[in-house]
Amino acid sequence: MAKDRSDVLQGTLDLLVLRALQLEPMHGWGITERIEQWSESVLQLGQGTLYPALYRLERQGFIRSDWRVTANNRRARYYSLTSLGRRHLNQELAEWRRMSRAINLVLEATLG
Amino acid sequence: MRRVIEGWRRLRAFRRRTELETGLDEEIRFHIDRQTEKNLRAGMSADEARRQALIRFGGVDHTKERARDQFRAASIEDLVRDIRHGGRALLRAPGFTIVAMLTLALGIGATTAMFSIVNGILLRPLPYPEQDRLVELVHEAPGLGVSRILASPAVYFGYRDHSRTFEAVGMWDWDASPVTVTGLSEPESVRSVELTHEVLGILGAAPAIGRSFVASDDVPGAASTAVISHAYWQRRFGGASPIGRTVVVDGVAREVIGVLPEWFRFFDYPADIFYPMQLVRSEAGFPRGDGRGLARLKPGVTVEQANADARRMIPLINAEFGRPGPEFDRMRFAPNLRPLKEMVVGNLDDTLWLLMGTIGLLLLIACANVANLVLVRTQSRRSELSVRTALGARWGDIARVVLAENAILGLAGGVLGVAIAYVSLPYLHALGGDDLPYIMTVRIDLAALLAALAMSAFATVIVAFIPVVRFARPQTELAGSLQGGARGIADGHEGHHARRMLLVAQVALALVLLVGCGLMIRTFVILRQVDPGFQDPSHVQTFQLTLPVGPGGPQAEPEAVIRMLHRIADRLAAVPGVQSAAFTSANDGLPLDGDGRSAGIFVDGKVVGDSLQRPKEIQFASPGFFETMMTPLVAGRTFEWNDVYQRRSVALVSENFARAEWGSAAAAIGRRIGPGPTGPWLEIVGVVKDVRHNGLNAPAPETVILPPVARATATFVVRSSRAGTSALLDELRRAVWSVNGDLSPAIVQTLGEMYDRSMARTSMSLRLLAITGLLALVLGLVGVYGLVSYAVAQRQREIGIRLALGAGYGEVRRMFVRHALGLVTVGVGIGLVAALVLTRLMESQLFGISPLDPATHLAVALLLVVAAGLASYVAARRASALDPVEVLRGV
Repeated sequence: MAKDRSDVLQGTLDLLVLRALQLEPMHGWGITERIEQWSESVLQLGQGTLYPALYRLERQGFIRSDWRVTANNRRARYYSLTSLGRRHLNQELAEWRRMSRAINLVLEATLG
Repeated sequence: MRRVIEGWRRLRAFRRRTELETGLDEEIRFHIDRQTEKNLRAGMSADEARRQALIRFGGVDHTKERARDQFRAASIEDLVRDIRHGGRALLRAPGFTIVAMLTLALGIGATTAMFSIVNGILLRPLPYPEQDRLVELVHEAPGLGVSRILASPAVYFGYRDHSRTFEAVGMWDWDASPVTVTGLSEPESVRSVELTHEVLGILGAAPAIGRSFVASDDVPGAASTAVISHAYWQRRFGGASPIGRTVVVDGVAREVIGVLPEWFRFFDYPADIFYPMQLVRSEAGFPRGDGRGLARLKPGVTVEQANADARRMIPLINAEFGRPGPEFDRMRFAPNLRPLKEMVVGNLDDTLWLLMGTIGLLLLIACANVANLVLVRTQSRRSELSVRTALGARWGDIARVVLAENAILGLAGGVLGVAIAYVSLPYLHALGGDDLPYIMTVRIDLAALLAALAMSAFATVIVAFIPVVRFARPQTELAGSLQGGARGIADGHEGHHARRMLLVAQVALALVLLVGCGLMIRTFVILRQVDPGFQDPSHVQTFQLTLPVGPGGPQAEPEAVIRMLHRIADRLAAVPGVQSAAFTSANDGLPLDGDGRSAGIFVDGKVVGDSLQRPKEIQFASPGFFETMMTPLVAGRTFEWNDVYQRRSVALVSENFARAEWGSAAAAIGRRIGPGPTGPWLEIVGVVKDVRHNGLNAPAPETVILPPVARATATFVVRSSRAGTSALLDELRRAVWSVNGDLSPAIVQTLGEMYDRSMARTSMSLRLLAITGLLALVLGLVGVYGLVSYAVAQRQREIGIRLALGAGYGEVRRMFVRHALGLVTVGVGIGLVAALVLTRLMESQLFGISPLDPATHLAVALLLVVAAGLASYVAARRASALDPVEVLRGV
């Protein structure tokens, strides 16, 4: 297995997946594409981690899945946020912003 | 099937998860397709695009596994999944599945059925309360060479009065059975038991109605009473209270005082009337053996302690009833009390355990066969398993899948096996015939089901062991097989090795079973050749008659009794188609059944010194008895009616007695024998051929034959080519009634039936061993055939090359046959060694042949090698069908 260009920090994968689903329901492939796109190809998800994460999130009740037909007529499983997931995402986002700000502060202070 | 499973899962609210499971495959495929398209757009070639997509994705199996992990609460779901997976894999190979399942079912079914019999008869207790405290009172006298002496009134009185370890002692006998019951309706012959008042209490049979016997019933001269069985009450009184009613038993009016509970069976004897044995203390002698004794031990007393207590009492008993002195001491009379269960089961345990072991071996062979099949199958799935491993399946996963698949096989085989056991148990039980005690119920109970489950688990482990060890290992070791697997001829040395070992084991086990079978066949043949001392037994009809006699018993008017029996014999002989008819006094005069009486016999002119006489068999035969039995007369003459009516002091002896005492049959004529050292003497007028009284496999006892005596019961023998037909029986019955309308024939059987019964044990062992031996042979040959045909299939290329290089078909065939025979020979060698050890266990079942009989062992070994050679030749002929050109081009 090729090493991911950037291993997603443990614990942030769930956040990225939920964020990717914030706008619209998507299938697994779409989620990897969106994250790759948004991160300017820095974050390439290993599928060995993506699907387990999706299943985990679904079990926790943050997302749900249903089968839909894609634009070119193939069946695919689409994942979408539940209201619980939306709340969870907002909480996590707030927490992330608080943490990253704190980390940035520390890093910049050291450099400065 | 699938719909049922699906519906079941729906019911169990598994639906969502199932959907996820099946969806996962599709989802991953979708993902990889998208990635491939993206790679194509980036300008890769089609192959490269897909390859990169797969690389990018990582281990598919691993991903699936991890995704599923997110949804699994417990390992029970692993199990469910593995079982479904295994089930599907088995359904894809129906031929393999059916053969493997049936083989296992056969092994497990046969073993379960046999176990039910062993469990029912040997392991389960007697159906009496606290039966472990019941003992049979038997004794031995090694000084006389007698190992089994029954109880006697003296022993009963002695143990009753002096014991410290017995709670109760009782005595019973069925000598008078069957009795003739009159006074209720038609005269009827009813099986009866005479017993002291303790016996029913010892067996825990509290009466359902009325009372049981008490001590006062046993006092000679007390009012005559009887207790009847529940079945007889229903049959004769139809539910009306029988208490206080009178039944006339052999001419004695008895008051019915109680009815036994419905569950109660008097051992294996279907007795309906029980009445007190009124023993007279002053008439008791010691040592004697004429009755059955039993006792209930005090709680906590062991059989050893009871024996020690009895040993202490023997001198006390001898002091009161016997003649103390050096002669008694030389007998070394000693108690040999044994658990009552042993009396019922007898020496059946040897036979049954032997058969159980035999069938267990069959199960092992079946397992080896299936293990071989599974190994071949797993071998052919090797590339599939390698791919799974390469795709990230952990070795534990594969081990689980293989194990689950075999567990399904094992369990299905077990379930089917239990069904087979249910169906076959009645037949198996019937094979034993009268030899198996009916008092012990045989059925498939919880213990048998648990045993079947254990066998299924055992079979699973045996069958799955090699594949699991071989294929479920870290992927590095399997890396090589992936390339080989692509060609579908991945068969390492190890695979060959394991299958060879299985074949050797199979052949060895089959050899052991077949040797056992061969020894049993020899025993059967030898027994059939034994001269029983009479001829053409199937044309001899026998039955018993019990005369209703007045007070004072038959001895009161002996001549009248004999005259009536004589008249009956004459009438029977006059029935059309009857050649001759005769009788013996009492109910135990017929051969082969081991039932008889014996007494010490003294020879006139021979001083009894230190050597103690072995008791002689005593028989009372009417004139014409030996002619009817077709027992040859060796010297002198047989009885005539004048001997009887003129009360001549004459006797006949058996040939072996005559030879032992006087050297030859002719020398015995005119000699005198008697019941005591001083007579009264009887003159020997004839010598007859030895008759096997104690069964075909026991030596004929030295026998003394006396003229008939006046006994209430007599056993008639009638020679007719129509013996056994109901038409003849009707005519015989009418002949009896023409003399006395109150008589009814009982225990009606032909001598041929008695002959068969005396071979029952051997027949049962023989048939079971023959069946298992045959199955073992078939399974073994299937194993040989399978191994060779698989080898041919695996080595097609090699065969093709050999043929192309000029080898003949015959040469190629010989190569395979030689290889198979090499293995078979090793198996036969190991089997012969095992047989030398194991056949000793069946020594007690054999007659006239040593368990090590070299002819049998070698003949069976030869048979097996020849049969295996044939099987491998037939399999190797498939090699002849190969066209070298096609083979080399095709692979």
